This record gives sequence, C-alpha cells and structure tokens, in this order.
Amino acid sequence: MNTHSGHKPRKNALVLFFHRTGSPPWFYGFAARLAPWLWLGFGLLAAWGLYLGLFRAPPDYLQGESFRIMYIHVPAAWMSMLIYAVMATFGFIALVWRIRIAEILAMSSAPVGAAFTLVALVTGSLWGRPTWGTYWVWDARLTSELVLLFLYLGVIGLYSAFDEPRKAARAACLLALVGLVNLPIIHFSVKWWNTLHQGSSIGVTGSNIHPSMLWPLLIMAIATKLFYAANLLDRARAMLLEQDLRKGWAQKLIARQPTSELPLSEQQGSEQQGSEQPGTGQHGSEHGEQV
Amino acid sequence: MNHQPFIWSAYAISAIVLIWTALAPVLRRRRTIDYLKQVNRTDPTHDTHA
Repeated sequence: MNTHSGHKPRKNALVLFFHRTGSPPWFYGFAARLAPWLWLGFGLLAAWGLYLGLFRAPPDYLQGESFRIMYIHVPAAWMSMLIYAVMATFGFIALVWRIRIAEILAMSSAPVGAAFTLVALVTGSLWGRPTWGTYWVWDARLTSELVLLFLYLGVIGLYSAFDEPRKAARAACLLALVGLVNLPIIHFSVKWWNTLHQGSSIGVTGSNIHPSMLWPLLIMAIATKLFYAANLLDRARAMLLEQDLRKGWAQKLIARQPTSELPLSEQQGSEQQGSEQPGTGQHGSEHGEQV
Repeated sequence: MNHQPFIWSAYAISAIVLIWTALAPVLRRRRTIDYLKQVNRTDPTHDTHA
C-alpha cells in the first residue's frame, strides 16, 4: 500500500473523467473539441446510408418504392425512444446526485428527442398513405408515439415555466422519469394490441430484411446517434454558457472570441424580443453553482 | 400509385426539422456571446464576476 509512504492512492481514470465532466469550463472545452468530429461522422454516414438506401437498395416486392421512407422513419423512431431513455437516465442522476451537468444534458436532450419524434410521426404518416391508404389511424403504436411527443413537449414546457433553472430542471427531470412508463408501451404495442402498424423486422437474434436493404438502415441508425451526440453537446454548451454568463470562466472565454459581425442595432433588436434574455431572463445566471 | 411525392416529402420535412434542430443551439450560443460582449462594451463597470 503506497499510502504508508505518503503517496495518495491513484484514482481510476474513469472516475477522474466523470469528476472532470462536472466542471463547466472543462465540459465546455471538451464538448467544443468533440462535437465537430461527431458532426463529421454523422455527415459521412448519413450521406453513405442515404445513397445506399435511396439509390442502391432494390424496391420492395410488396410496397414498391415507398419502403425507402424506412431509412429515415425507423432510425428516427428508434432515436425518439433512445433519447427519452437517455434523458430519463440523466434526469435520475440529476435528481439523486444533484449533478448540474446531468441536468443540462437531460434538458438538452428533450428538444432533440422531440424533433426525432416529430420526424418519426410525419414520415410514418407519409408512409402510411400509400401502404395503408390513410395518413393517420388511432392505432396503439401511433398513439403511444404521439404521447411520447407530448411528453417531450411537457418536459420542455415545464423547464421553461420556472425562473430558477436548477429547480426547473429537477421538476422536468421528475416528469421525464414518470414518462418512462410510455417506452415499453410503444415498444410492445404491436404485440399487446392488434395494430395496423407492422411488428418488428429487426430483433436481437436477427432480421428478416435482406442485407441490401438492411445495411443502409443500420448505417442510418448509427448516423442518427452521432447526430444526437453532436447536437446534445452543442445544446449543452449553449445552455451552460447562458447560465454561467457572469462566471469568470465564461468571461475569459468571451474575451477570447472574435468580435461579432452582427451590427449593434441588430443585436439590440434581438435583445428586445421576448422576456428571456441570456444571463438576465428567466433562466438567468444568478444561480449557477458548479458541481 | 406514384410513391415519389411521399418519399421526397418525407425526406424534405425530415431535413428541415433536423437542420433547424442542429442550427438552433449554434445561433443561441452566438446570440449569448454577442449579448455579453455588448453588455461589456456599453457598461465596462458591469460586475460580471459576481
């Protein structure tokens, strides 16, 4: 034991990493370095996946060309559920351990999840018209996915309703945790009820989709995950900066930024809009204790 | 039935939603930085280290 010789015991690298992510300036810099690589990965994979899916995959024997909507609809639907699970996990961490970065990540996940849910609903509706003959039915899968969109909107709305961001985040995290019950309902809806929506074609044990159609789908699934990761980091940086405007690290960062290209009149115009001002409004910076 | 309009509409709407989702935080952060710079410029005595 090296404690006898006066040396401190070495901390696990993973533990150190998690300790560091709790520091806003470190997280801000880390996110700034990582996000461009995630965006690059997303761009390359999305281009490759869409090229294979839209131009190389053969038409479906039953649905014809309309099955190509699958390459955006299915990854978006998967992401809508995955992001909710991640948001609830960050929410749980934020509620139990009061880690501010976890609150910010949970709240930054909500708009991205809402966007993917909206994409899943709209593309599903556009896929339903040529295959089912209707844009919408009050089917268990469709309805539970719509409920998921409302849950995301509820989390976003609840977070915006409080003046104090940490209190707002805790209330919204609690709602996110309660809404978790909807995820198994969405997933098993096609098994529990007799629905118009088809069952899963891809499972843990395998898939009944031909590889020429399956690979573009898997590539798009990875691409959308990179989109979420990159967008989450961008959103977390923006939120962190807004909350910490008056802190020393943010001031130093601002001092290093190049002068804005926006004319002063335009900046003043944008300040007068709405009640939420960065650093002074609803979720101002008076309360940004670091964890 | 021609499926092309449904396919391209689905991708066009998805592109609009996702591009907006990607751009929104960048614009928001830029607005915050511009705001703080303007505050510092117009009121140099403003205590920003509180």
